[in-house]
Amino acid sequence: MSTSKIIECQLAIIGRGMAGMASAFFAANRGISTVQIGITGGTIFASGFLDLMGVHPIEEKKSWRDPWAGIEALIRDIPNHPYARVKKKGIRAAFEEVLSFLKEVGLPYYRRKERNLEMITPLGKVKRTYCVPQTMLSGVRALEEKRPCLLVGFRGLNDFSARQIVATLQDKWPDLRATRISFPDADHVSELFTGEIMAQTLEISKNRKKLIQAVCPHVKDAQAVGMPAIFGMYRTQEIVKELEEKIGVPVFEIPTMPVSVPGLRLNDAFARHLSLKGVRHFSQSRVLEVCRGPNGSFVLGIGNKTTEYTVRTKGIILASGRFWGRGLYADRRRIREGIFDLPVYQPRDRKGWHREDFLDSRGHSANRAGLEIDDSFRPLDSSGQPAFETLFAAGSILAHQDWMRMKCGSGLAIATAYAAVNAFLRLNG
Amino acid sequence: MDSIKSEQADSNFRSELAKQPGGEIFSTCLMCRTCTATCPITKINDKFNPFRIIRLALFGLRKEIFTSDFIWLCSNCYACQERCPQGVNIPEFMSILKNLAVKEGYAPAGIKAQMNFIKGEGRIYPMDEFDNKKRNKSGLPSLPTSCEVVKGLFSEEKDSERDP
Repeated sequence: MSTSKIIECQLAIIGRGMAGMASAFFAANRGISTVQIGITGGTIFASGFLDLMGVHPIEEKKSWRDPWAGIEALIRDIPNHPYARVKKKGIRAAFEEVLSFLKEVGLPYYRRKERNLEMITPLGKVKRTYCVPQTMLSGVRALEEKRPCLLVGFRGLNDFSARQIVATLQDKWPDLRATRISFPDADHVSELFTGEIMAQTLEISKNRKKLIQAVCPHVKDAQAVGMPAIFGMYRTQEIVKELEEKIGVPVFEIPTMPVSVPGLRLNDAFARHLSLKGVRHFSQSRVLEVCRGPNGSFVLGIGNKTTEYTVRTKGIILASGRFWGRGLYADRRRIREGIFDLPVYQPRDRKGWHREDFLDSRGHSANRAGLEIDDSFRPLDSSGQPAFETLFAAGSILAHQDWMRMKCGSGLAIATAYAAVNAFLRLNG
Repeated sequence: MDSIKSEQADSNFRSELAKQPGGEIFSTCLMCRTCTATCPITKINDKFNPFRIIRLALFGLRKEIFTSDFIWLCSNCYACQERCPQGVNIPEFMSILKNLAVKEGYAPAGIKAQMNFIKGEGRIYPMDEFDNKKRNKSGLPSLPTSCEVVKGLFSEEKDSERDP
C-alpha cells in the first residue's frame, strides 16, 4: 500500500448517504478527528422527509400515527431490529441534535414530537412521516383541513404533474385544483429537470417576480398554493416568505421525483458543516484496500480508480449502505459485504432471497439481509463475537430491518449513527 | 426530446468506449439524470444533455454523437461528476468521446481551427502586431506572435510517430 500521502485520523466513516453523513456529523460534534470516504449518497434522491417509524408489521401494512408506539411494537416483535439497541432515549437525542443543527444552518424542520405528520407525494399519495422541511408545513396543514388549495406545475417539467396529484386526491380533497404555467427563464429549453439548476433560478429576484406574476391570476379562492420543491438551494426560507407576501396565501413545497432539491439541501448542509468542522472528505472516493495496523488500528487505501491516499485510523464506522450503496453485493450464491467480507445475515440459499411476487406486501428476505451487531454496533464474526474491536456499523447495512417498507430510513440512519459514534467514544475515549 | 434511433446502433461502440482509460465505468449509469439537472450548460442550451449523451453511447449511436456538436459544449466544470451517485466521471467521458471524434475526423470546424492555431501559433487566440501595438500604447511589452516551442513539440510528435 502506498505511503506517499498518509492521513492520520481517529475515525474513518465509510459512506456518504444519510447514515454516513450523520456519523461524520456526530463524530465531528464530539471533537473526533474524522475522515469520510464515499461516493455521493442516496440523500440527493430523498424526498426531504425524515421518517422515524411508519409501518409495522409490514405484512398487515399497519401504519402508525404515533411513531414511538410503533417503535415499541417493532422492538417487541423484532428484538434484533437496530432500534432495539439504540433505545427510545437515544433515538430522541439523535433527532434533537440533527434538527437543532438543521435549524441553525437555515434548513428548519417541523415535527410534532409524539405523532407522525401527513404530506402529499409527487404521485398524489398521502405519506406519513415524522419531520418535514418547514417549507412543506403549509402543505401539511392544508391537507389536514382540506382547505381550497392550488397546485402549480411547470411546462416542460414532465416528472411533476399537478393535475395527476389532484386527480389522485380528488375524493379526499375536493377543493384541490391544478394549473400549469411557464417556469421563469426557461422559454429556450424544451424540458426541465428538478435539481439545483432549477432551484438556483429562483434565487434570482427577477425570476421570482416572473413566477409570482404567473401564479397570481390562478390563485382565486385558494387558501394555499403548492409547487414542486425548487424554492432555491440556500435562501429557501426567504424565498418562501417573499412568495407568501406577494401571492397573499401560504405557499408550500411538494417533494419531487429524483433529483430532489430538499435532498440536495440536506446533503449540502451536512457537507458544508462537516467541511467547516475539519472532516476531510475525498470526492467520489472508495476504499480500495484495507489492512490492519498496529494496536488494532486500520490502514485504508482510498481513491477513485487507484489508491491515492492512505488513511491510518483507530476506528471505522461502516455506513456503506445496502445493495444500491454497494455496502452489500450479491454473487450467484451469497450476499456479501464488500470491504471486510464480514458475515452477512441472509437466507440459507438464493431460493430464499425473494418471494415469487415482486410486489408481495410482506417484502423479501433479501431486504432484511445485513450485518448482525453487538450492543456497541460492532459487526459480528461467524462465532458471534465482534469481528474487530474498533469496527462499527450504521444505517441500512444493518440486518433485521426493511427500512423502505417500514418507513424508518432516516430514523434508522440517524439513530444508529448516533449509537455507533457514542460506542466508539465509549470504547476508545 | 427526439427519439433515439436504435436501428443505427453500432454494437461495438460500447465496448470500444469501455476499453478507453476511464471509460469502463460509464455503463453503470442508472439514468437518474442528476448530471443533467446539475449541468449549467443544459440550462442555457438543452442540446447539451449529459444523460442523453451517455444513453446514446450505451445504445452505440456513434455517428449521432460524433456528427453533432453537443459533446463539444461541455465546459468541464465537474458539477455532474461531484453529484453522480454512481461515481461516473462524466467530463472524463466527454473527453474520451472528443478524442475519438477527432481521431475519426469529426471535429467541428471551430475546434479544428483552434487546433491549427495552437500548432501554428502556440495559442488558441493568436497574437499579431496590432495586438502588440495596443499593448505598447498601454506601456506593456510586446509578446512573440508565434511560439516555436509548440511548433517543435508537434514536429517531435510527428517524428516519434514515424520512428516508434
